[in-house]
Amino acid sequence: MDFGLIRDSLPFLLQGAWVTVRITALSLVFGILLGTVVALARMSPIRWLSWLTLGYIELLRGTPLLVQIFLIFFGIPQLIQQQINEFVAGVIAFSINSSAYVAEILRSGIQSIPKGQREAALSLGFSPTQTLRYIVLPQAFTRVIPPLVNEGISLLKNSSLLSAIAVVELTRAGQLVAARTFKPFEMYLAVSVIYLVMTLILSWVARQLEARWQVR
Amino acid sequence: MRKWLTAVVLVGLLGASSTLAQSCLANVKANGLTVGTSPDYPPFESLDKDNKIVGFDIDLVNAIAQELGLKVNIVGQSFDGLIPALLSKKIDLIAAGLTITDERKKSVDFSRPYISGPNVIITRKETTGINRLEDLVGKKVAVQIGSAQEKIASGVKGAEVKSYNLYTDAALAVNTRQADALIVHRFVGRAFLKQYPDLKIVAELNQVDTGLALRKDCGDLRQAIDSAIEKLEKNGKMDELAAKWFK
Repeated sequence: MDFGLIRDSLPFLLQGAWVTVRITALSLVFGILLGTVVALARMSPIRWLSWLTLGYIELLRGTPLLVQIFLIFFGIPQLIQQQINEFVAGVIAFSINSSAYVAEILRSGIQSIPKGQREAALSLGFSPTQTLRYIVLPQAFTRVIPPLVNEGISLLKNSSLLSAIAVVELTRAGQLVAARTFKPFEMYLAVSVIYLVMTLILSWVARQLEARWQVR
Repeated sequence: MRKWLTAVVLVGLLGASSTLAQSCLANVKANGLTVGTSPDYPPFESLDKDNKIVGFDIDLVNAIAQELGLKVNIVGQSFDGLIPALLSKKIDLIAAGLTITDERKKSVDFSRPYISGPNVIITRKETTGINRLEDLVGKKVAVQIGSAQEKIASGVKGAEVKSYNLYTDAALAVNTRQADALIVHRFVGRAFLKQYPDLKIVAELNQVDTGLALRKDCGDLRQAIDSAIEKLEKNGKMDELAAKWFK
């Protein structure tokens, strides 16, 4: 074991970890925004819109993320005849992919609120929008936090796939050092520990949020 | 009892030391020669339409093995994992168009060089203003992770080095405008040009030697391979293979 190598390459690995954090955070934010729109469209009474979003979700869940990354990274420049930054390509791919999962999480959260509550609200004179805004969404919100955090953890770990398009995130940073020093074991061990620290922090934050917004 | 134990331990130690001392050559004669390569580097090695690994290196290794009476087992894997695989004894030999560098010599031994040639810079045909290494400042330069060319690109201060898993991905990145230039061995560059007619060679760089890599404790195998290569050079087989793959 070469702990000296781990120590010496730590600043470089942490730089990579920072890229990982930025990609995950941006993709999660865009994924939730886009996913909300997709979830609403999915639950829309307009038939064709609902079917269209179902197709969108199935397409994204049914194809490997790595393939989607390659499609966007190598495909978009062909279409627009211009270079696209690999960081941007990565965030686009992850946001789109994540929106499918987020949409299903939100939909299941909203649909988990018993129908009786909606009917009660409507009969008390709430408009459908008010019912959604004041009765359904606040309750659904607390229920979707754990699966959304899971999605965040998945994104964080899956961002390692961007190493394939030469984004120097945490995994790529480790690979670069390993390829130079021929010491993959030390590097991947260090990389795993850094990922673990990041996911543990995410889970901890999630537990705090859950405790705060616990349904009373 | 104690004496008996000591005897067992001694015999055990002797056994262990005798396996340690067993030569690499004897080992590959008994178990076959396991050769690691990364088939994204035509014409040194690539996949044919049946997904079989073919190329100059494969023919060379087979010719060497024939000289030495060895059975060959070719293993395709990622390029940056080749030297770690060799060091951890998963493979006995690397045949991957590997450039002989001082840095690699610290970890592995090389056979006598079997090919010499320059690295080249490749761009799209429409690109102007890249004619030498210094012109790569501020440009995205595609290479393979762990390659000697990655080292050359990293040596250009201000160049943005993009390291891909596969050399074919690096070439694709330049072809699809995701990178501005590719640094690669000339023979491989020519093969990529056949695949991507929109690319061109704009500069020739340093001349490099290519060799097979072995573990440092396999001196006897290296000597055997060196003399086999020498023989293939003398009897014209090497020229025949070069004509077949590098024409």
